[in-house]
Amino acid sequence: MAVTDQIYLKVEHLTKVMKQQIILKDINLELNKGFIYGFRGKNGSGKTMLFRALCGLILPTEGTITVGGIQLGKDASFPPSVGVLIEYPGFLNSYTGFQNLKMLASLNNFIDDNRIKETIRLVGLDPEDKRKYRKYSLGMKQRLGIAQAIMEEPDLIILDEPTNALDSEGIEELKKLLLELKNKNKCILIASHDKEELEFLSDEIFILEKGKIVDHYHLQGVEK
Amino acid sequence: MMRGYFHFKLFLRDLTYSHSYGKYKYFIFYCIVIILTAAKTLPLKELDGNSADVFFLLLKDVGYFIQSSGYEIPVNWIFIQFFILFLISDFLVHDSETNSSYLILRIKRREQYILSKLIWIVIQNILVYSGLFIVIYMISALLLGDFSLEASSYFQNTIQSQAAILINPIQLILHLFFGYVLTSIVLSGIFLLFTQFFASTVSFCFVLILGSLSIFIDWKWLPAIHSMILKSNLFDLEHHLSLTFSFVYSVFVYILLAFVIFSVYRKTDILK
Repeated sequence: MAVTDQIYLKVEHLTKVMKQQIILKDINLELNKGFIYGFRGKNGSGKTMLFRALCGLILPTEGTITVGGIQLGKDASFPPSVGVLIEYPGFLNSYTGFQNLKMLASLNNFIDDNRIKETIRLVGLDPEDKRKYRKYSLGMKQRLGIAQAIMEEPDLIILDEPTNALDSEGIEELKKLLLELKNKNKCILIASHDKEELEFLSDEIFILEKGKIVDHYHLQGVEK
Repeated sequence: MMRGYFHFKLFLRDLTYSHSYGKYKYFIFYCIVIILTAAKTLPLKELDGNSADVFFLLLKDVGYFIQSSGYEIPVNWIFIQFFILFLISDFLVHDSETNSSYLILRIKRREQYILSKLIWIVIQNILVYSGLFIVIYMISALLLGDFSLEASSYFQNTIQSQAAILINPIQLILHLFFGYVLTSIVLSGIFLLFTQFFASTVSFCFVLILGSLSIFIDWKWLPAIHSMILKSNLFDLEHHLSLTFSFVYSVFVYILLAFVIFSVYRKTDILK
């Protein structure tokens, strides 16, 4: 694992048991800012559950999660600066993309309209597009989902299957965007079942099986 | 202390989102109410009735359960009570399943999310029932060509004769309004509590059964009995079911439910 003096996200012996089933088993991670981490595994291997735990959305049965020096469940319930995409957000069909993002952004007032529009452009959509969300293609919906995850410029970005529904052009744009975010010193976690895509983007890959990390390997230095 | 848990912008978002999300369902509901209102209003033209009589005829139950033979099912009461409960539950489930993660990670507190829903339940029920009463009033008044809410001859001859005390139409309408609103708030709260432990469909069935018990069981501690006007002390003095009792009971039960939901949700895994 990548080890530096300043570990941004540290997971120690994380275990989650639900309804007498082990969902996550003794997970240990040390992740840093400025890197992209890929998580690969079959459906039900625990990728999404791990991401939910890292966000503070599910509480560990055992173990600790520390993000930016803050231990989740002890110092704070959730990471101080996190953006996620885990399944489609329930955007309103009768609102435009901009209106949907504005509604979410209004909750914490971190960003203004200009930043929302800028993010929409970053994901390859048009902020002035008057079409309602119901008219969006699946790819456009996915792009808007990614926009809501990154619009507040969080330090920790967690994307579960971000390339779902994207065409080849969309995937290329996403790759470019993620590398830009990485260069802005973000800690980025991606789950995907596509080995090739994940290896292209990631600096380090973790392979999950039955809630356990069974393998990991570095890809730093590989020509992107 | 509760002040820190209340997130006004989240509550405003809940109101806006729920109305946009459920607008077609609400439209269908009000269309059905218009049809039901018209069906109750038209016969009253011959009987010199007015809108107050329509409120009574449309929203009344069938009174205390005395014997099974000849006992009618209060179809309108069931439809209105449970359709609105469905509309409320539908949003609570949808929002929890699709938006809770995104909202909670922004506001950073589970407590704010659930408190907003608890307040939304109260306000939304008041708004939906206000809409219902306005629709009934407008449709019946337009069809009858009479916008007054004074005691009609139908009211004096038919409704007053069933009453246990001397009542006036406004008193009757207010009793109906608060009875339905209080009942719906409590049933929505019970639904929200059940969803913390069971699937949403199972929870809805539980609440449906619990609410329906009041049709057959004459016990004033049941949550849904408070919207049954014929079981209230306006029409029955034996069971002492006053609006004051209904109010105190419902407020107490809802606060209790809110406290339990609040405590449970703080430690709940957000899986959707």
